[in-house]
Amino acid sequence: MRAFLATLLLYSPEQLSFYWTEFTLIKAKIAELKPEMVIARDVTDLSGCVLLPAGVKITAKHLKIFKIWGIPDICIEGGTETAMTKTAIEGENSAQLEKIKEELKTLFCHNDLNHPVIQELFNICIERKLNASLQSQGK
Amino acid sequence: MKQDVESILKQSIRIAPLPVIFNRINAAVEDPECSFAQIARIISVDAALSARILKLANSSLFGFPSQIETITHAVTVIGMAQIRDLVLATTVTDHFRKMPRDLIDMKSFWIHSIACGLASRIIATYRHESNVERYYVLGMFHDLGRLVLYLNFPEQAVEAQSQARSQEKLLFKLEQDVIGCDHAELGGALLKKWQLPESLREPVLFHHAPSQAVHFPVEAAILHAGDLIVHALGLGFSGDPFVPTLDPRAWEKVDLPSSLLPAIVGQMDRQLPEAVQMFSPAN
Repeated sequence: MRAFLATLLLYSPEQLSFYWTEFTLIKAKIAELKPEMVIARDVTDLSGCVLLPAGVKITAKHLKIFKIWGIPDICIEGGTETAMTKTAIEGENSAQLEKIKEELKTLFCHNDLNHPVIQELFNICIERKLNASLQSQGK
Repeated sequence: MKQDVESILKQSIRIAPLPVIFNRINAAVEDPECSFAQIARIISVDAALSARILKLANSSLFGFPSQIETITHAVTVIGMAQIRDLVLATTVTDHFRKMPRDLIDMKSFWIHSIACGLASRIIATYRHESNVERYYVLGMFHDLGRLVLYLNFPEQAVEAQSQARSQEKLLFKLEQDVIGCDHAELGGALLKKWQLPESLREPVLFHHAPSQAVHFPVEAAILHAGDLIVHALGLGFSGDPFVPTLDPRAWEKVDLPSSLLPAIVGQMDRQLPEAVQMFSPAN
């Protein structure tokens, strides 16, 4: 416990709040966004310029502007999984999700699943495979 | 039996040298006094190549606002060095037309290569690299050594592939065990034989060990990352059943946030069908 507290002291409050944000954000496609959702991470263009800061509540006008800007997805507050996987877990697809995860673990067996790049790729693959299997089922 | 890459390439009679037209374009690009019109004249001699270049220049991969109707215009807007690289990327498939069909699905192989080129090019664009077209060449060339293996050691190559599956090992490591050299080494040697520059040879040679690249570490790291992404997404197939190991130092060289990956993948999804159409061998 003492070691844990000591580790916490090493981080600045900004860093801690950043990690907390990482933990609670959902990545949502523009089509999945609804007014009143809160932006969890700054919406930026490709060169990193902030277009809309974190903490802003989305309005219908923002949704229209996101489309004009050509932003594919943004991070909103609310959970640890992507919007797509979250729906699947809540729904009847949890068994399928587990199966996909197992397949992917074999595919990635020569990689460190804790590396941020591999984690991100792993999540993208889950989403794609789940999407493909839902589409093939005609859902 | 250990094999020496140089001797494999010497024995391999089925690989033709690069087309004469490429060498002429290359010499012209290297000549500081050469004009756009001169390069266009060299390309215009080959009608099929000219058609490919025009198709490419008018595709959404470049997204120029107006129609490009002449080769001179294409060279002017795309750039001389970039045109040379595109010529290389679009003509390399001609060298491997007669691959044994039962050993390798060439369509899948080229999709893997094109997707790897595209992924590397997108990463390079985010990094604001110059002449991003060369990444198409790197993608198209990175696994060519595997085709040389299939041509010269068909049985051992199939054996390595089946062992990779059963033992859950990476194919390039089994190529070293079974044949004595891997596809990356052979690819590097092939590029040397074709007298292509070190900037292409080194990233191909070290695409599984990018930290060993001395002269072009960033290019090798970008190619390594592109290959990894394409393996993970399962776009095409080059023989390896698993995602190759990420070299964390290579990603540090790439120096992009991992949160950019969804955007990179999204861009690939949008551009891949057209890129496949542009770079796949003409039937």
